[in-house]
Amino acid sequence: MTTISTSYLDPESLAKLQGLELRARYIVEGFQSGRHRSSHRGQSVEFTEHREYTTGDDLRYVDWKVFGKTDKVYLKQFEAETNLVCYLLVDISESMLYQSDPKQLSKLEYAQCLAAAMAYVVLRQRDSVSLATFDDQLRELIRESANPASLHQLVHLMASAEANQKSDLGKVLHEASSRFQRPGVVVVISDFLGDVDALLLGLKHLRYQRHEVVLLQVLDPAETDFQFDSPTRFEGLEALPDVLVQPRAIRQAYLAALAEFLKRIEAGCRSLQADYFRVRTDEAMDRVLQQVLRK
Amino acid sequence: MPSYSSSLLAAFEFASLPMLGWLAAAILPWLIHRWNRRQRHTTSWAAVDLLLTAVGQRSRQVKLQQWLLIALRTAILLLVAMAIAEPMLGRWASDSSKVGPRHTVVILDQSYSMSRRSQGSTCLDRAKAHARRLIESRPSGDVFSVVGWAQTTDNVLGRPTSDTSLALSAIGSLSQTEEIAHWSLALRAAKAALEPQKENRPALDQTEVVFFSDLARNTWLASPEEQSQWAELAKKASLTVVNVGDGQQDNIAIVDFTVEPPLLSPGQDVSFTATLQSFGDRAWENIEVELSIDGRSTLSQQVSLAAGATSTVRFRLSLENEGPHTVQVSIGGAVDSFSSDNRRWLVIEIRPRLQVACIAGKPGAADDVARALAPGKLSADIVQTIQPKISPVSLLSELDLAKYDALFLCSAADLNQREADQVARFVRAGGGLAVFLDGQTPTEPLSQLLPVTLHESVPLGEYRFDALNYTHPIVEPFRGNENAGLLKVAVMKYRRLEIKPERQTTETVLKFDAGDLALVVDRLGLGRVAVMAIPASLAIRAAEKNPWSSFSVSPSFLPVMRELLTHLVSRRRLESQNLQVGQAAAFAWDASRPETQVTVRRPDGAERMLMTPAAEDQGIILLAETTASGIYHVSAAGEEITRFAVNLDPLESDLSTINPQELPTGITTSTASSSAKGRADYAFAPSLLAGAAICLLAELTLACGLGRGWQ
Repeated sequence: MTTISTSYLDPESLAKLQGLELRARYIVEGFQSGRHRSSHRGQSVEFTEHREYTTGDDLRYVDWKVFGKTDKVYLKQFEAETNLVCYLLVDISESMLYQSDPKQLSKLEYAQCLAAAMAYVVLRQRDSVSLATFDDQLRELIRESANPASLHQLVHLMASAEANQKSDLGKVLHEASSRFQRPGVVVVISDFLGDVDALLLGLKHLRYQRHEVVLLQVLDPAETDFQFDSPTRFEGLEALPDVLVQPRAIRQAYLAALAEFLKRIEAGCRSLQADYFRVRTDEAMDRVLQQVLRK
Repeated sequence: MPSYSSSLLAAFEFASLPMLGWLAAAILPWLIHRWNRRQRHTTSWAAVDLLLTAVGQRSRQVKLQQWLLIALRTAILLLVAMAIAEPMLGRWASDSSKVGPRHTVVILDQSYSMSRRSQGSTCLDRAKAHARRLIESRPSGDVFSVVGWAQTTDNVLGRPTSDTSLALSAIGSLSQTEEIAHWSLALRAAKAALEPQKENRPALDQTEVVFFSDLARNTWLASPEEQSQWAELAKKASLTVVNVGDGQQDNIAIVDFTVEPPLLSPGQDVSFTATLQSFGDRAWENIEVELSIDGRSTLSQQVSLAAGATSTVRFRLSLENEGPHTVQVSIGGAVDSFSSDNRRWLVIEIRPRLQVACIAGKPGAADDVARALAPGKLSADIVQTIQPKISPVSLLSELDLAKYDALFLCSAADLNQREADQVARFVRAGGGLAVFLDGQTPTEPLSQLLPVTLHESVPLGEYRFDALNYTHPIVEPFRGNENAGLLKVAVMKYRRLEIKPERQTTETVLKFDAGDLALVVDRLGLGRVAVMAIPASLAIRAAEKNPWSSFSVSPSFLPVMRELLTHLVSRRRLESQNLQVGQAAAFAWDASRPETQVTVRRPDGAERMLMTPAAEDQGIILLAETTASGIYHVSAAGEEITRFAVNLDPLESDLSTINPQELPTGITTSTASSSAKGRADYAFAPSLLAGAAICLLAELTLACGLGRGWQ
């Protein structure tokens, strides 16, 4: 196996790489170097329920015994087709485009890298991955698949996403709750800059649907440190108003507001037993992955 | 042309008004603030909600801090600009906002302490510059009086004028004098200058008096009682003193220069004593003091003075040549910046002998006096120096008194008018007159010459002299020599004397223990008159049984007579030839000379012609304008008649200034000093700069705190 120095996994190095798939491979290869590769374990196919046949369903799953007794066509449903279904929800709203340093990744690029890397890891473990992009609604959805070749499709979907809309996480999570039928691990990658209450309600819905929920909050260093000196006009993304301020004068107030905001998300996640990770776009991604996957 | 502000910041006056242009710089902080806001960075931002929350919390505070910073920065620039514009806080400035014309009396101190120079200009230069600016700043319609103030005051314009150029020209005409100045004269001049305004012009609501002075302590110090004299003027006008002094107080000066003995004869040992005084806090080491006689450097000594100390330097020598001599003592080198008081002059006269006419009113009445003046057996030099001639009173009119230096009238009070006139002319021309009284009542013409009124004799008794602590120079030699017997002289009878009320210059030399006057001296014209209440001999009149006193045969008689003669003649002559600046010089004119004019050559070389008096006049020529120190030579037809020395009054050598709190109530002070280049170092400017420094400190603290993100 090729050993890749972790120095190549820092966001600045990744930013130099063209192509999300290549970035994902670098991340995962770097992350997994030194780890034991997980062995593939056999699938467990266990019947759970029937449902009515609809046009296009695979005739192989028709329960002929039931058909013989009732003269109705039912399909057999199984508990799991793989060990794990991982739903990746990637925020592509306009706020994710923010990038304080052109040499670094934007939040969106960072989120895409994370999502691609996680998908790559999951697929290599023969688990299924589903990916959805969202802003104020679910935009694109690739249903769960354990086929390693689907990585290319996932990457293509993310790369072609256009970020120019507002986000509405509450609405999106409710929608996802109804769309993700199989309980799995829902990984939401976003900056979560929005209505916290709506976010927590959406998370509650997901938890109600027996999903494990992981929130990955991606923030730019400028957003967490607010190291601006000269008077600055902050042009609001997602149709928010522009604000002209002397940053040094309000820095402490801003950091206090940010801390309060993050605290609310963190407390909400804890109460809903959702995992919450906060990452900065200047953090090495392999460490982030390691932290998330260890959970 | 720089001008005083009349509207801008009405409470202040600015010596360098153009510098106020820098006030415009006060707008810089605001411009920079605006520019900074324009030069803002722009960035897209996602967490706008958080930003708005933060701004919502801090908006008012941030604005307040920003405006506070701008205000501090503006204040710094304003204060610095005002400081370099040399502000002076003056009453006239604060009055400038008032409506209506105003009468401003500008009084400039011309005393010689104003002549000290610093940074290329004298105090008087600065005073004139400030006075000019004051006048230039005034609106049309204001009227001005310009007064020069020294030992005398001179209202240059006579009457107030509204012509600014005339007032400026009057200021330019004021020149430096070597006189002293005293507040009482300035007060009187101010009162006088304000009077014509009431008489000749419509009454002006506003009147002010502005003094430009170095605030010399000796000029301005007044007792609390004297200060009340200012109250009346303060009710009429606002009073301001502008301090144009340079703050320098260290000075060394020769404050006195004397000669002993005053009676000088050829070959006699002479002692010249110069008194040096140090003013201020500086000590002076190895100061060279030089004595010159008739322009030739003769002797020198070195002396050191501690701060504030006085020291005397004594030069002893013998002078052979008869006639007048000019003696100068001076401090060598430029030891201080105020050199006017570093030299003094004396004019002395070496005379081979003194002629004394001793007039006896009765036989033997003048014998004791003549014997005392020329003992003959005591010392050769005394015999040669004083030559008394005894004459009966009947021959008085035949004497040519012009040949005599002194006239002793011994019990000779019975003078007719002609004789009295003859004596009066003699005294007024510089002669010395001593009158010894007995029971004879003087005739009216003689009585008029005397400074005292004569009363009856006291009853017979035992009386003694009271030397009044030997304060008078005539009896001063007896101090410590009580055994000389002056106080033991037995007096049985004397005439009661009473000083005439109009005589202000009469000096009491001796009294009797009963409190009556025994010996008094006064001036008359250029001469002196002494009156003694007892006869100068033991001789008695027919009606009397006993002599009046044993004075003429006591050991103290000789020294008293000789000191009396010295005082009447030599000291008087020294006095008349050695004056202080401002004192009128007077000298006798021989009416027999044909010249109608005499030439007076001043120390600066300038000459002035004076008319000689008519023969029937008193024979005295008066020169009132001794405004410069040095030697004045008087000559007629190329022949020197006399010379006299004029010295500075040492009062102004003390450069210490009066504390503004010690000035009379109602007088405000404005301190300023500037060089000829216009640069000024105002006492007010440091306060502004200190304010600027405080603002700067506050700005730095606030800005630093904001940088650290104070909440």
